[in-house]
Amino acid sequence: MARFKFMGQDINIGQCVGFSFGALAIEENASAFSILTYFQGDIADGATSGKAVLHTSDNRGIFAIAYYIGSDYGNCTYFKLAANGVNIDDSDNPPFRDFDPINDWWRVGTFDPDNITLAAIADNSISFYEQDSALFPYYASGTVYNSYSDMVGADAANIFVAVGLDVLHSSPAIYEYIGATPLTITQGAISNYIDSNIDHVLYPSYQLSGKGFDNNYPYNPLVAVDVVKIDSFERDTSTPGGGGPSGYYGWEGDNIWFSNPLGLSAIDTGMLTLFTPNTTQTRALANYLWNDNSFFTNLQKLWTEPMDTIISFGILPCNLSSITDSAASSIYVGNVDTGLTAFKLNKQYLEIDFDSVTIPQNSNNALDFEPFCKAQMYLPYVGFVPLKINEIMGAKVHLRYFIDCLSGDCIAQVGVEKYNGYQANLKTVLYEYHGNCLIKLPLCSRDFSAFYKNLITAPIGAISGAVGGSVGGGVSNGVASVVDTFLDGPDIQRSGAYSGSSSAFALRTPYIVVTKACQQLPEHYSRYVGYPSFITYKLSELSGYTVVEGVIDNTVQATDSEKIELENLLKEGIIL
Amino acid sequence: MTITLYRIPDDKRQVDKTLNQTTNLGDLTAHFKEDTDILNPVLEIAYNAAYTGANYCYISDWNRWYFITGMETGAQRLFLHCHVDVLYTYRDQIRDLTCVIARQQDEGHANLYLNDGMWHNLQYKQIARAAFPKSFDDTGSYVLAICGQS
Repeated sequence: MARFKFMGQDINIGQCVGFSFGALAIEENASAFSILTYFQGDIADGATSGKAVLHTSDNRGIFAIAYYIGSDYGNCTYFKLAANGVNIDDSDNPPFRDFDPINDWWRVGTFDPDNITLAAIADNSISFYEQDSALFPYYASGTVYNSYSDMVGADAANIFVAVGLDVLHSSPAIYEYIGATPLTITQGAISNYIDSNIDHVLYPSYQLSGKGFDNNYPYNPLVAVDVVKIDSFERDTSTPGGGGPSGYYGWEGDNIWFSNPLGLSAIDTGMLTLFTPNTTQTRALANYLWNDNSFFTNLQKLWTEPMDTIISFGILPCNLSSITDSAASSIYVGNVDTGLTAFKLNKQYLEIDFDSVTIPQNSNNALDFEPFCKAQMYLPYVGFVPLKINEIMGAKVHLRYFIDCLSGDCIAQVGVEKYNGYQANLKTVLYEYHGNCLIKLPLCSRDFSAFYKNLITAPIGAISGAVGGSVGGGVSNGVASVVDTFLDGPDIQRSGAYSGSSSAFALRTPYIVVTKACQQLPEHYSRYVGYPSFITYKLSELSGYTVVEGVIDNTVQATDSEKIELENLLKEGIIL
Repeated sequence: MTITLYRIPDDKRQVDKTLNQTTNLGDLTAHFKEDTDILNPVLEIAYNAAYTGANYCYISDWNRWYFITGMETGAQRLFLHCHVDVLYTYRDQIRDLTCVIARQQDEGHANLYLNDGMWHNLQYKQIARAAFPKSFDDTGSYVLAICGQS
């Protein structure tokens, strides 16, 4: 089974050693290094041709750091995937001390330093470092390092350094490499390969300061550094008959990501104004309304019901500073200047990005998925909603809320981002739920009557409806789900409706709950029960306990009775 | 005919059997008790207490290996009820077979993502929680909507 290895450590598909799409391996002698790209496609192990989709962030490059162990200098070189091919460039040799921040180092200037992670493996110990543009160079746990040798030790062998970037989206086209032999790239030559698939890229190392590039290292990284290219399918390598997963759909479709609210809002009409007064301003307004005779004196001349000039008043569990004017504005009530000020909202809709959570796939087997695993998500002011574990396992789950500051209505959008060798790339909003987070505050007794009425008539136990949520069951629309015999019985309702002031007490942090089965795995399980396979093999390639599903062609020269008994024994299990 | 008796320690499901000097109880002459099935012969040998420990034999005339499934004694004779061991008899040809493998001991030949209904799980479950890095504001903001434009 093809596995990805870094310096002897198995890295499975879906696991990542500090990189999204590319990695750099440096041998002990650091005489050469290679860049390995992350593939999604049909490329057999060790093949020199095939199709793949390169994953790279838009307008960014695949980076390599050459660091020669023991040297004082390391040059930074990169090649950049452009629309018409690949261009190569190199940076200046940074000094040993006072490393430049990475965005200067790369000399591209389009990078977001927050999206860069450095991983270093030395002696089978992996450390991850986040680059902080305020502190340089890389640091871990508050320790500042001036060089890679400081990070991993000057004499550490087999240093593997990878630079990772968040993958924003895959390359816009499929590049096909049609060469007969692995690419051997010399400086500048890579630009000759227009629209070529980069199977693996060899790049000469930078030896020491002043020596320039050594172009004579056409070595095969798959052999020299014990790295096996990821095969996106766990293919059966024996013949005949393959045996790996088939029916790869191959159509990834479109990414459907978070939307923006409508361009029009109530504020734009001028029909109303939204303020977000602080506590002091609110008290001043209350004093104006109820203690200052001028309010009623002035408004009663204009309005039969002065309180009709105030539409609503409430509390939102949000910080509205991002959609608030920088300077306070006068409060006009019923066209009467109250003489008070408060900060005015310049947008009706507030967007809150809750960032993302990655659901790790730690078993790397069927237990990570249905029916052995299930997930629910708590959305503040919506409740608990079910998630399809098959969709989010191994994925990054993003959450975004849009809130209408006027009504308090909110939409929670859950986006799933997943790049997995077993299925197509996925970056789509898969769930959308509706709720309300406004705590309405009455301004007069008439308001409170309506407020209280809504409170006692709110359906008990109901949950705000799902907008395009799961159909036919689940907590989100209050219907018990089908009993799941593999897990812990029927789903239960974990939350009810939010109304009135209950929003003030609701949990404000969204989170995901994953319930997973615990496998009972006795010792020597493999010897007496074996692992599921369903792959075609010649029996001579196998050893140990083997259960046969079916014999392709029983060519044993035995009597029929013996053949029948033989097939029965094979299906019951034999020990090779 | 000549048969060779063995006393082997191996699991019946094992293709290869442990046949060596330790397990070999010796060659001897045997007769068929009666008209017999080649796959399930009943052999008659001279009684020897040492042979009563045998559980495996080889009949060279038929080039087959047999499990001794039962023994009877009588009149200084020992009667061995045998059943052919198809696994060892045809071991080389079996190894040449190409098969669809349902389960295998070696994880390297496994499809661990395949759910074949043989995952044994405990009744209690693991529950993992992952909170999003950000949450709603703990303090909140007042919102006042007033008619007209201020």
